Amino acid sequence: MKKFISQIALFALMTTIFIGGINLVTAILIKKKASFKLADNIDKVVIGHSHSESAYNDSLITGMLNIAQSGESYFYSYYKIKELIKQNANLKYIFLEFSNNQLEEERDTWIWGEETIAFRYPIYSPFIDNEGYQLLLQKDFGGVLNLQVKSLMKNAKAVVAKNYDYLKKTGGYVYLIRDKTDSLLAASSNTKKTAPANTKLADYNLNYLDKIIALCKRQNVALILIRSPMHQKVFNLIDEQKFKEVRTSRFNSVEFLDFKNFSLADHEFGDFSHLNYRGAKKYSSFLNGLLEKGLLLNPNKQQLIDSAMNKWQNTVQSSVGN
Amino acid sequence: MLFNSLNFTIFLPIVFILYWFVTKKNLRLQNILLLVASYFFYASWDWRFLFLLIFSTLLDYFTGLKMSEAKNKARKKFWFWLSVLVNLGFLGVFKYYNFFITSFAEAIENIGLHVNPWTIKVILPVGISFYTFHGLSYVIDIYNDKIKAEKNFIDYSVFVSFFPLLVAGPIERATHLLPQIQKERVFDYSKAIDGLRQILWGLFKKIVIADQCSKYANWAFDNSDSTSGSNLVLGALFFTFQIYCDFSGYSDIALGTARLFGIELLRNFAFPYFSRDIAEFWRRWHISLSTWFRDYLYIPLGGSKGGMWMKVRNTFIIFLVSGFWHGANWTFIIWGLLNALYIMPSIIFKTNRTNLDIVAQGKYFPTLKELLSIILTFSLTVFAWIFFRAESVGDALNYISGIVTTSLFTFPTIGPPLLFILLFIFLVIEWMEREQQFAIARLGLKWPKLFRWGAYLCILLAIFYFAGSKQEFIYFQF
Repeated sequence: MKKFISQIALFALMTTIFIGGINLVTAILIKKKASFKLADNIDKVVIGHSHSESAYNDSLITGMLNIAQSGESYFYSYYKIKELIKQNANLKYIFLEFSNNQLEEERDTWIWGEETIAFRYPIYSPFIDNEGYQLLLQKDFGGVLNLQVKSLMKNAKAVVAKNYDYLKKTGGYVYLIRDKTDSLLAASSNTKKTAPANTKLADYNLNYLDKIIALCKRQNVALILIRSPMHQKVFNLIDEQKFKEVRTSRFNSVEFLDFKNFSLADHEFGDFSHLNYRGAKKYSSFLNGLLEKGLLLNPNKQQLIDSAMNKWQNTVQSSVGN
Repeated sequence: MLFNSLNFTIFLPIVFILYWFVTKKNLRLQNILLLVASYFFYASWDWRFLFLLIFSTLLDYFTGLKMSEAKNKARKKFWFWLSVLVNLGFLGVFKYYNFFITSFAEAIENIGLHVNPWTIKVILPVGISFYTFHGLSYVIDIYNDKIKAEKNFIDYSVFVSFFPLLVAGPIERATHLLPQIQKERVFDYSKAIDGLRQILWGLFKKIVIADQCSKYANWAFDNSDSTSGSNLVLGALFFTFQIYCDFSGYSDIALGTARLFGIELLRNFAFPYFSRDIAEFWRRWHISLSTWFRDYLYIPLGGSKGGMWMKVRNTFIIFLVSGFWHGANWTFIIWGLLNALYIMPSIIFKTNRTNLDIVAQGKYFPTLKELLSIILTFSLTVFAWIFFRAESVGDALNYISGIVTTSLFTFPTIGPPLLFILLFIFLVIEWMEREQQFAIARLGLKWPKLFRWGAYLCILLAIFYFAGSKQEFIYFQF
């Protein structure tokens, strides 16, 4: 029995040292060499989940890079922003998606949920700090343990191939072709759905938004919360009243730009929450126009946006009328 | 609690340490510990199922005792049938009631009458088919005077609910397992190491092969209307490997785990996809169930003693019942029927016991004839698995008609190259080690320790790499 126990212990120890050792070395190397370096002409980035990933065609917006990624929670955005700020003195503005569904409790699972963690952890593992690890281990100890080999493989591959371009790995504009709005409209009932009153908030996700806000404040980078356009038929578990309540009570110190009601035709949406490439083209050009008009220096930004959106809507309507 | 979960990774060492160290090799304490651990293991699915398991155990224990004490044949018969009917009654209610009632209603509707069948909403208790068959074999053996009733309730309960075999077998026999439970167990280093190797290989089969194949098999079966014939063939092949690696992987983990506690369970798989005919396949696939049906159904029905007609009839019966045992769906019955048809030529021409040895024993490669026989047998099983996997007979037929199109000759687009490489490596290892109890039983035993451990580490890394979402074992549903 003694021999059995000692052999098992020795094998377990060697395995741990092997996996842990390679993981540690590759993580240190990646942390040192990972590039989040923006081009010199970029001073604005947009970060968030799939809404922003498909809405901001950064080739149409001067000085902006879209590094949003589907299913990204504020937890992973925090570590991305941390590295971005560290490596880019020219970064002045961070546009961070702040839409209704990011407040829903379900979004917490975007931090540790089985599918999300399997994809994101191997990429972000070198950048996550102790506090982040504590949370992940507390929520999915087995998942983190299982993913050690996956992140070892991923990191080792990056080190061997000298592929340290983490801007590409952690996001980018997605040219969305789909156009499902018509079928969704046909399938949706005429009766208006009401959001349940007791929808809980994504406490962990929002805690990391707090951390992002504090980080940007410390580093003197302007953080702007932004809500991308959504179809008027979109249903949110967090309704407008609750959304406003959370934003004003908890995040009032941060600038918020609301483009939710930006007028687009049905065929310019991929679905009720995402713009397709047509919508992204129009919206990005519109935003670029606003930025060129000095939106970011204007003290009444939302007013400027609202009046520009009204003008835009009138132009669209009159062109449809003609 | 799944074998491929973190919970089991914690549970197993705890039970192991308590078993060998805390109970101080006291047999009674060891058995009590095994029983408590087994009930805990089972309750982790749903504690309410535990009552059913305990009831089933009590029923067979008491009827077994009553049969032993019975002073005349009639009394013995009464207790025997009580046990059999209650056991099968539970199985019928939980597993087959809805199937029978809806099939009956459909049949009635076909003759123009309409009925509203009263179905029940009930979850199928995990492993019910397995522990019911454990209990049945016990009472049948007592009735046939093959064994004496077990008086020690703890020992009997461990026989029924020993956690490695509780939810998906192997289906044990009292004659094989009970004596081991009653005998003092001594820790055997080489057996324990062997057990760990078998667990490792079982996990590899489940996580690396079965779970990866399942993604593409599921995709093919979900998109059979819209994908090419070549993709459907690959989908069926992926399912063929999935079902084998899933179930035999479970059995490997069960056998390996039991060995850690000094208990040998019945072998359940013996490299069935290298079989040269269907009869050989059934001697190598789910052996504990096949032999159960042979001993408790085929032979009591007369077996092969009553001439050819009797042999053919009994063969059809056991394959149909075996299909039905897997689930309340016509797909399983068709699967059983297909296998009965496959085996028929060898029954009629009395060639069903031709291939009793191991294919190409002592050689690296099979002869051309052996290779062609293996490919033919394998193809027949792949075809039958389509029915086993499909949701309905209609779906299976659609799947097959989707294969038989010109798109069969297009290049398939499912399955990443890595999966094909893994399957190739897996098949090579299984082929090389087909004379052993399991594929890595002797792998690297003569190598220097560093290389051997390196090989184990590679397998372990592959397991961790592919261990994403914890998927249940297919046979849990049976």
